[in-house]
Amino acid sequence: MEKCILIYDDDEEILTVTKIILEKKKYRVETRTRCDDIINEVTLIKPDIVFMDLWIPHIEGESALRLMKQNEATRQVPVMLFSANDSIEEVCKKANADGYLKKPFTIDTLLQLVDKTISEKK
Amino acid sequence: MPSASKKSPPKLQSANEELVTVNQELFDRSEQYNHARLYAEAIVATIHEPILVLAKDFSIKIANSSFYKSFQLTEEETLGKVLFELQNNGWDIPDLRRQLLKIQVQKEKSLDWELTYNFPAVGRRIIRCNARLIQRENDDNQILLAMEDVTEREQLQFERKVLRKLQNFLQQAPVAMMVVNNKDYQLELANDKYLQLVEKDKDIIGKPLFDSIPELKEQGIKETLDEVKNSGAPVTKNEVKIKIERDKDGSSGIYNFVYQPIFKEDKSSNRILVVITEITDLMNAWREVEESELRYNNLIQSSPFSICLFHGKDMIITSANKAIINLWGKGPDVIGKPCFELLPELADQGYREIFNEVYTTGKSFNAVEIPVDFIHSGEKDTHYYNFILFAQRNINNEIDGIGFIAAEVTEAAVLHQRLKESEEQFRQTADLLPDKVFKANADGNFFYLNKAWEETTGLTQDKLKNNGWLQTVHPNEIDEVKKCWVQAVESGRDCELQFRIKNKTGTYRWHLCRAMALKEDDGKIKMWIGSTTDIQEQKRREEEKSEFISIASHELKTPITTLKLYIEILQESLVTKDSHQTEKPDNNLGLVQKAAKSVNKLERLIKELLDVNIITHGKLELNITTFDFNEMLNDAIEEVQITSPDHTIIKEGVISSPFKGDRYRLQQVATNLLSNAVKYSPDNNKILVKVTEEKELIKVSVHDRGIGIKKESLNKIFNLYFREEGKRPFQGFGIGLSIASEIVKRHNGKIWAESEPGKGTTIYFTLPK
Repeated sequence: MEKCILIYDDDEEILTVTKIILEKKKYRVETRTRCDDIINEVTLIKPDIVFMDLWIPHIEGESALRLMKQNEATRQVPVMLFSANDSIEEVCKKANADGYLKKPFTIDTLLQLVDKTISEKK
Repeated sequence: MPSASKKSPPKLQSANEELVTVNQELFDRSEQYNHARLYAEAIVATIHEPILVLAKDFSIKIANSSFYKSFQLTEEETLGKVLFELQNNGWDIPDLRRQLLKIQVQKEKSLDWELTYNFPAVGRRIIRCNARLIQRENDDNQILLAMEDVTEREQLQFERKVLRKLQNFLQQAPVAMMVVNNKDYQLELANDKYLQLVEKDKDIIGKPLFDSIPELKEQGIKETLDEVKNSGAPVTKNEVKIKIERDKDGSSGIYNFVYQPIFKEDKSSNRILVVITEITDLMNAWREVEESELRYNNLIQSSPFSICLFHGKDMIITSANKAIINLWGKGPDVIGKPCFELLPELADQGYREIFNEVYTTGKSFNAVEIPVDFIHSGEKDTHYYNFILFAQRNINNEIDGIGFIAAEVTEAAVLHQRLKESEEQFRQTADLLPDKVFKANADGNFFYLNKAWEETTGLTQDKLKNNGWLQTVHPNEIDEVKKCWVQAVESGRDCELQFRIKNKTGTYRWHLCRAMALKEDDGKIKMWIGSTTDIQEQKRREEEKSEFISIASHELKTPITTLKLYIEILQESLVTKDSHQTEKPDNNLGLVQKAAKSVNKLERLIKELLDVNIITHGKLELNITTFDFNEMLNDAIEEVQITSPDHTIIKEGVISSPFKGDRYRLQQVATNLLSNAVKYSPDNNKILVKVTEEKELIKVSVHDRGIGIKKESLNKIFNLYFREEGKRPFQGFGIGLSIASEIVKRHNGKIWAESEPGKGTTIYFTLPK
């Protein structure tokens, strides 16, 4: 079964380009520019990885992450934060994220992170 | 014999025979008598004492040779002569007559008495007389008079008595005393004090003085004794310096001598009493007093201060040094003159009352920078003085005068006057300023704050003084403010910091405070001067700017991410593989690669922009973790190596233990140093990175053989926006070293550079473990 990746970012261009890159690698990619009900969406889509910008409309990435990790249904889903912020590593640790990606990133770093996370999940 | 003639011849015969017998008897007796008389006379003659035999009428029947000798008389002058008439009645001695009459008339058998009389030829004599009656049958009694001359013996006894008395007296005397005779200056008496003085035993008594203590002979003692002996008059010698060869030391002493001839009853003198008083200590003390007085006078005379002494209520000048005489503009004849008669101008200025006050109360009067007018050649001359007036007391602690010491301080006083004026001007100017100005002493205590402080804070100067101003500082900044101010005060270095001050409405506003130490020539801090400016608006604008730069940078990063990713996709799509899996690049690939390069540069510039923002606003926050230093260094080298394939970066040394710090920021330091090394060594491709571990720190050096840095620029390279001016300009904001320096410092490390233009540069940094 093809793996699904759910990406939240307010920048549509980022969503488009990452979608292109990941789909090329045969991933199913779902993108969202806003997050209204993270638990509901994750439960519905059942992604293998969630990518989340630190700042997304309506809810901060950090809060969304916390909600996910508190919920039994969504707790197991790996969440990767991405941001242009230099302190991303720290935020990541604090919020108990599974990994991070610092903007700007290269195709290689993106794919390595995805591959690594999926293989660990297995 | 008429009766015999009437007798008969036989009777005559017998009568004749009887007569012959009697005659014979008489003859025999006469013979015996003559013998006896001659015998007696011979005895008398041989007796040593003068002896006379006097007839009833006191005529001298017999006199022995001793008598003649003793009284210087001849036999003719003596025998048959009445005793009292001898030597022209010179022997008419009442006492002698009385005693002899006692024998003659009262028939006293024997009498002893002592007779003292001034005999004509031999003078005053003491005679022990013994007279006894020689009874004779025919009442022709005679007197045997023995006259023993005891003059010498009595004299001797008398003298012994006198000497004994003298000795007692001498012993008890509190001073050294001795008696010598006139003849050979034999020491007859000496008291213990004397023996102590010359440090000799009693043995010296009875011996000539100059035999026992020969050193005295040469020191004028003999001359004086001779003088006394010859004149018979006492002599006093004061303050004589005598050296005595004592056992302890040969030191000399100073003595007062009294030489007193001792007179006998006959007014003649055969002894000299010498009284010696040692006054060495006294003289030394006296000399010290004199020297002390001399020194005291010298001190007063040579003092640059004006000094004088006034005596009594009339303030008579008793002592005045040159300085004060010059000050008064008078001659040396001021001594003895009353002060206010000499200087009426002082009385006009109220000094008479001040002098009197000191004289009567004994309380000193101190004056600092007081103007005093003197009239010099009719013209008023004003000078400023620091002076003290103090009571002078006599030995009984009674005030008997006034002492005056003054120092001219005209220059200082004028300077102070000007300073005061200048200070006043400063205050007026400072009060006009909108900035808050303060002055603090060397200890950092504020002693002046201008009006702006009072107006802003609503607190009075008194409330703000010393450390009062600290109550207006925002609690968040108070510790930092205190720390910085203490550091500045201790180091004397200028201080600049920003903090919030509460204004009178209770609102805190940001201020920039700058303080500078005013120093003496020797570098000692005289005081601090500082100004505090309201920068609330500026601060707000800066915050906004910083916020904007931060947001903008982040916003820029997102499209760059997209751009980079698209370029990557494009790059990949422009490379196709043929049937042999050989990559076949499209002709346009080069253009896309150039685009990628520009995007990378853009990315780096944005990163730098963000860092500048962080450093200028002090917002650098460290994320401390424990990591492998070698790995971090290798990552940095790799990062630079990838973008600079023409250079070879060689690393030497390893760090054995894990390191605690901000890995990302320290890698940034290493990357910056390496990028710089690459950038500034375009013609030499070797970069050497050395890492060494010392006891408590890690030392890293990055060495290039590039263009080098001028000596005068070495200190500036860590400043923000600094760029070495070279023939070839290099790109970037020029903040790499500044960021590196900030990061190293935040790790409590040190960073520095060594360089030689044309030969290369080494940048070092150390980090505590």
